[in-house]
Amino acid sequence: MKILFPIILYLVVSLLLLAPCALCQDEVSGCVNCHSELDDGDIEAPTELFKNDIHNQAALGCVGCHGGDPTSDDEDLAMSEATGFIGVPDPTDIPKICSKCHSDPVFMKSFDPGLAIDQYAKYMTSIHGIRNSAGDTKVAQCASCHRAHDIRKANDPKSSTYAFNLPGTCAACHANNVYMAGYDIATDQHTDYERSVHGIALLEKRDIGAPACNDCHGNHGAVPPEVGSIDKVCGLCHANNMTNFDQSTHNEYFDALEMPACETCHSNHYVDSPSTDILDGETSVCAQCHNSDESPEGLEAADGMRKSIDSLNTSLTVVKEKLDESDRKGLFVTNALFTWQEARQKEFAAKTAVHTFDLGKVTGVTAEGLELASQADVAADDLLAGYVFRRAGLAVSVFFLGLLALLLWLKARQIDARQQSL
Amino acid sequence: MIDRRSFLDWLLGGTVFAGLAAILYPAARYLEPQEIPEAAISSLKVGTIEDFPLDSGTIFKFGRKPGLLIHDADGKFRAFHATCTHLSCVVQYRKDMGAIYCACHNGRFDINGKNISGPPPRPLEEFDVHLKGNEVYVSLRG
Amino acid sequence: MTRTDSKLYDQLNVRFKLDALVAFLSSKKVPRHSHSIFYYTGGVAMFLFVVQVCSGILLLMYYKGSADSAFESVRYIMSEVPFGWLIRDIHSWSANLMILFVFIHMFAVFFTKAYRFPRELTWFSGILLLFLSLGFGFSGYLLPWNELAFFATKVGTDIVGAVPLIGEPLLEFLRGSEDVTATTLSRFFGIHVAILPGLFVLILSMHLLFVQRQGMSEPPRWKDLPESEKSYTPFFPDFLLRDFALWSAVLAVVAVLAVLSPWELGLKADPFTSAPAGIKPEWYFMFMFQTLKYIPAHVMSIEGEILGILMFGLGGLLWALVPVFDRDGSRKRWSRFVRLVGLIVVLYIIALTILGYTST
Repeated sequence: MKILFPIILYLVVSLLLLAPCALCQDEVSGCVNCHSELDDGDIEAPTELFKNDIHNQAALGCVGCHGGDPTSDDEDLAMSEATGFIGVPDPTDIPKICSKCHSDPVFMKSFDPGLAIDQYAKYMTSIHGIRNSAGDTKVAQCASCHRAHDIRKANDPKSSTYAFNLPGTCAACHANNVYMAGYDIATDQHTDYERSVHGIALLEKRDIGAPACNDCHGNHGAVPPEVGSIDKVCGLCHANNMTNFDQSTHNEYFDALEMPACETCHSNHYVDSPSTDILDGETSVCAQCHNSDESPEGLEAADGMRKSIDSLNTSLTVVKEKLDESDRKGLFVTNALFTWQEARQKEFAAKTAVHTFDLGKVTGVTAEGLELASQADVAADDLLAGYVFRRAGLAVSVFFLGLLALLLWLKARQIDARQQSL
Repeated sequence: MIDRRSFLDWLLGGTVFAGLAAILYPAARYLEPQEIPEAAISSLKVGTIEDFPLDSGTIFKFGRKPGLLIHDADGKFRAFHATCTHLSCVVQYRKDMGAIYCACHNGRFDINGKNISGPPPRPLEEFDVHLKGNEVYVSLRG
Repeated sequence: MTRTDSKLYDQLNVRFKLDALVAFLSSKKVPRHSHSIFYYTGGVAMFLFVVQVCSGILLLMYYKGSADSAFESVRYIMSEVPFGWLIRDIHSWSANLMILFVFIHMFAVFFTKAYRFPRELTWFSGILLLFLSLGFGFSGYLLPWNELAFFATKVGTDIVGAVPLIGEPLLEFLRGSEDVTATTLSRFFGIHVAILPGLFVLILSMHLLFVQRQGMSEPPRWKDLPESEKSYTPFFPDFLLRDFALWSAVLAVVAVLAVLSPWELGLKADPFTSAPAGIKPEWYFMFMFQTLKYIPAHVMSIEGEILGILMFGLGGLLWALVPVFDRDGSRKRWSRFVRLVGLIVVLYIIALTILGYTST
């Protein structure tokens, strides 16, 4: 008898350990077994898609969202109202369905303790959320962006909300002028974004750090940044530009005129790579407010900044050409190039200093840049002078080696001739 | 006949000498001791402890690339490659933040070089720091 | 003719028996005929080897043979050391010219049938020198540790690995590990600056000794010529002076190439990047590399690459053994056939090399 007890204990414990897994197997197979057999695409497709869904991987099945009884083999019983079956949820119900779990701190802790639980609260402050709760079924709800049965974590490269995929996800509705017809907002944001410095960085250069739609508009609490907050949004990355601007005299005037800080000069979705063209001349953004009659100082300062940065840029270009030429001639440019790159960094710094709108500060930075550029220039000249020296040295060496060859040959002929005559 | 021969011999001797000079001059110059003695540095003395006040960061040149030496508030030295992992701007130590900061896009790294906010995708590469007496040396990892 | 009146000469002669040497040198003669120019090719190859030794020793002063500093040390030689760029470019150009001249020398010997009795051993030692030269080229190519060299070595050693039976162990012996790594660089460095030079000098000495003992070969048709119609140039000093003249000219050509067409260093090798497009071996391996591309993946259940390697192995062996097949007493038709095969080989190598550089 004594030996029986451990055996029974072992069997019981094993069965207990197996039990939960056996249950979840049943649950999945209950819905999936039938739906995967059906030829109707709409009904069958979710069973395939759901395989990669994060919820499926956490062993959360169909019931969580759709209700019903997966343990029943009878189609009518399994999907009867008594079991809480709701079928395809109405778009206006989806946020609540998701928030059942996603807003529950205790529940979420047992699955993904790192995930925020404020999505629903934020969503309800967004334009999408406000319209959805008012009964608009066309606006984005959870499944519009995260998809319904192929939900992946945002850091999964196949996710519809992964940084590289997100602009396309938003554009699915926002770039569709038929779909957006009733909403009175533009549909060119995505085309603008694609050719902007940010869009090119993210979508073409694959710089995961570059901003997608949500980085400025927020993700769940999606709203356009307000006039007063746009500099904070841009300042998330362009911190020095923001600080410079905030401390400048422009800050106050922009506020008074209710002009958004960055957008007024740089536009919003189509932020172009900054060129000095926007300071001065026909494309000047300064001239939108400043005019030569009332505030000529502003235009003069802009003109000065442009000239200062342009002169650094010109000198950088000239030195770069020399370095490229040296490179083509097989000279070793790495050291000079290092100094040149430092000078180029100063050009960026000068462009940042433009946001102080203080001509003295800009010229201070460009002066440092010009100094470095002239060092690189001297180095490039040294290289090219070295090249002339190489050529001259080669000419002298080849002359002597050639002469040597010639004289030796003559000498050999001379000896030959002597031997013939002997 | 004799004259022409001896002229050729004389010229030949001179040219042999010139040819040898053309070969030996570059070789001799090549063998001169060099001011920059090492090709690839794996270790570098950046200064003495007194050069680096507590809670400060200093940029040093490691070969062709910039490095950042941090003497933290507790007196510990750390050194990193000072190139931001986002777009390769040079990073700096910010006393007010107690963090390493990249001015280009507001990227931040903690004092251990871990990227903590902003666009940088990876931590900064770290150097080893050794103290010999009061001299501070940094060396490549690995 | 020799000036035996010099005091210094007398002093040395007593000690080293210089008279015998002078007698030997003055009796040495080089046949004069329409293809005499090919007698210079071996000398030029040897001169370029001397250039390689001298420039190689200079490079050793600054080069570091380890993966973390090899590239940097070559960059340092090229950018910081006065004339370092020149030494490196001369070493690279002279290496290529040396292999070119070794090939020309070999084909000259082949077509003049100079490998026949009694010079079989001279031919065999020459073949060894050819393989050692190719080994020099292959091992030296990796030493700057740049991207192109890294991947070319990877591809090159992969081909070695495909050889049946001995391939795999040979591959790991060459690489020092399963892949091309820092260990491979150390090995190639050792092979390039110690093992190969030692072997090369030993075999070259034998090769030269053979040539000196046997004298210059005469064209086969001279056998039937009366002595009066044969014409010779004395080796010393006439031929030697012409040798020197040619060597000066070759050195000038090397200098011009080194200055006007310098070798790039490119990017440092990074084992974790994918191979850049257009990996090509050095030109003297190109005909084999290109051939392997044309062989289908499988030929009658044998893997195409292995078949190619076996073919080149067999071909190389037959080529090396030509003194055995084509003897002095061989029939005329056979002798002509051997020459025709040689001609086809030359045309094949030239054609495949050109294809290697022009086809995409």
